[in-house]
Amino acid sequence: MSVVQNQGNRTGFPSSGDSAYKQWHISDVLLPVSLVMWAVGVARTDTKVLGPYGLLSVLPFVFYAAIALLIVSVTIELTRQKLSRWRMAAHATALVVMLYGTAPIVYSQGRYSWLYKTIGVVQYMGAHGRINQQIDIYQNWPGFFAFAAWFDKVAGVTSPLAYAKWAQLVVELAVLPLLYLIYEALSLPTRQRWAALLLYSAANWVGQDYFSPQSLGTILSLGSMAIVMRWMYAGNSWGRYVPGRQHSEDRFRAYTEKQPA
Amino acid sequence: MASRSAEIRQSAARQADMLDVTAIVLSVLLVALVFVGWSGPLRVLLTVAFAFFVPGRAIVSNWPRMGQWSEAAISMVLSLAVLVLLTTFMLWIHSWHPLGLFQVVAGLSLIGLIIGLARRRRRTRGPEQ
Repeated sequence: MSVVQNQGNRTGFPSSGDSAYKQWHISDVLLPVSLVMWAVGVARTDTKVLGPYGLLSVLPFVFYAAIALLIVSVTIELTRQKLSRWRMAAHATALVVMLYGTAPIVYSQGRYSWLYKTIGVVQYMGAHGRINQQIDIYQNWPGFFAFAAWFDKVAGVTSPLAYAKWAQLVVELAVLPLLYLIYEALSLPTRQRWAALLLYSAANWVGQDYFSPQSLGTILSLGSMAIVMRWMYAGNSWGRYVPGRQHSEDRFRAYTEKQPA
Repeated sequence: MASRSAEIRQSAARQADMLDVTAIVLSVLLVALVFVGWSGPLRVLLTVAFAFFVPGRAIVSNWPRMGQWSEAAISMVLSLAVLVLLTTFMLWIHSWHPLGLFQVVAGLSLIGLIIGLARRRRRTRGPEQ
């Protein structure tokens, strides 16, 4: 097997000049159609008649069909010999938008009662410009609240209520590149990276991503992990992987050319 | 091989330039909106983009090793980390001036971005001269 073939198998991506990169994929149709179906489903959702199963029970069939279509589309894309980075990224983004963008659209206010306690602390710091350590434990860990109070002033809003319900969507979108960076440092094959990324978004039910200190903590800790792994971790397949994203293909080729056959 | 490496380097430099220019435009737009006191969804979106990208981009632009890993993801982490540290510090020293801090951060970021752009241009042109 030639070096070039080796490289292609390892990265799973075609080179920028490869015509396969630009050719038409079935997902170019399936993805937009699933997004349109999702939008129709969200528009038809009536949250005034919520049952014991919450939002799940009032979402129309077309919403679930949209998710199913997206899964089919991404599965087809994942089975291709050469993955398209942009198409995979579009699928991951679409999945996050569908799963985490639905609630802020159909509900007029943010979910979770404890969200409003967080908003209260942010407003206190914005109004007084100081902390009061006698009030509660939140005031003793002011990083997120100070940041949010600063954000309110710069954004020109009087309260985080104006944007807090969108926090889940923003946080889930923000963690995607960080997770990719971590998976890349682990030198996972490209298909596994994307599958892991999609699984994270699809199966993340813990709810640490709402407007809260732990959501900021999630982003910063994933970022720290990504930096540490890129800086210090040599990869779990030594001999086939050299760290460094931009030039990894060339480095890999240079490395393999130096090795005896 | 050499031409392929040069092509990759040039492509990466173009991408980095584009990100720097985007960060500069974001900063200037947000500073202008804050200066005229305009409020609305656009200002909120620009603030999100600024908080998640601009200060970190100014650092990454001058720290190419970080940019090699990821131009956007590392910028985001550094932006949030810097802003959280600065706002918390401002709170602790009892000198709460959020708009003042924004102006300082935006100004320093613009300086960092312009320096980063100029240094990259010089590096990219260097081998040809």
